[in-house]
Amino acid sequence: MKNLKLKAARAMKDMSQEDLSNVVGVSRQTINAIEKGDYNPTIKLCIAICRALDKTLDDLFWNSDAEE
Amino acid sequence: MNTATLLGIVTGLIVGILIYFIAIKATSKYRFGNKPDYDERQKIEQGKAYKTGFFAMMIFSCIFLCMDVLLENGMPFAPGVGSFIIIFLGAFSFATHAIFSDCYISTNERPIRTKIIFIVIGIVNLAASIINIFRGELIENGLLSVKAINLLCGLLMLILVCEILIKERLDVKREKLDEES
Repeated sequence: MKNLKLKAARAMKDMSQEDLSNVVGVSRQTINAIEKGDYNPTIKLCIAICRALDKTLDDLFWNSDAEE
Repeated sequence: MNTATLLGIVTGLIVGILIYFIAIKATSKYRFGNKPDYDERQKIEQGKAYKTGFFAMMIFSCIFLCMDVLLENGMPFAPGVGSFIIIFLGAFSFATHAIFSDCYISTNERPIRTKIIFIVIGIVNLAASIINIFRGELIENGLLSVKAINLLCGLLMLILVCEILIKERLDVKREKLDEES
């Protein structure tokens, strides 16, 4: 499932995938894979992404639809 | 294997090691740090790529063994060449999987440097193999000689460079599409 929240949060910060990947310390393709839903990041990487985008884990990675 | 060939192999190894330590170790390979920094997804993908390489080697070993038994005169290689071909095929399978899964080049590595090194190794090996072809030393007694290893190594390196370039082109296209959507 695509992570549109992450993509939106990144766009709000006016960051490209490359910018975010440099801040977080991963490859651009990893950020791309997370946004496309092809890769489930570890909690460590989720926290790093949240810190880089000034968001909480709930904001970016909690899927309320899946709970229902 | 005669003494001259053995001396050639030993000299080649020594020169290769010297070039590695002088030309490669002396210049910084990484944008930061002094060792490859693969991210968590890349490490997982590398595991899959190693598996691909391992199974490729297993499969080709079985194929070569079967062909050696089935063919009347055995495989058309000099002793040892078949093993190198299997290693090259395994390495090729690993590298292809890794390149197309974005885990061949680490996050802090300079891709241009990797490409230049591969091109140089490829050209040096191909040049050596062209000389061998003109000397008629590539095939001896109807068998592919040990000198064919240069040709295989050169081809492998240049194919890997082509794969890296293709992957980069694909990435640029995908990035544009992703940003537009």
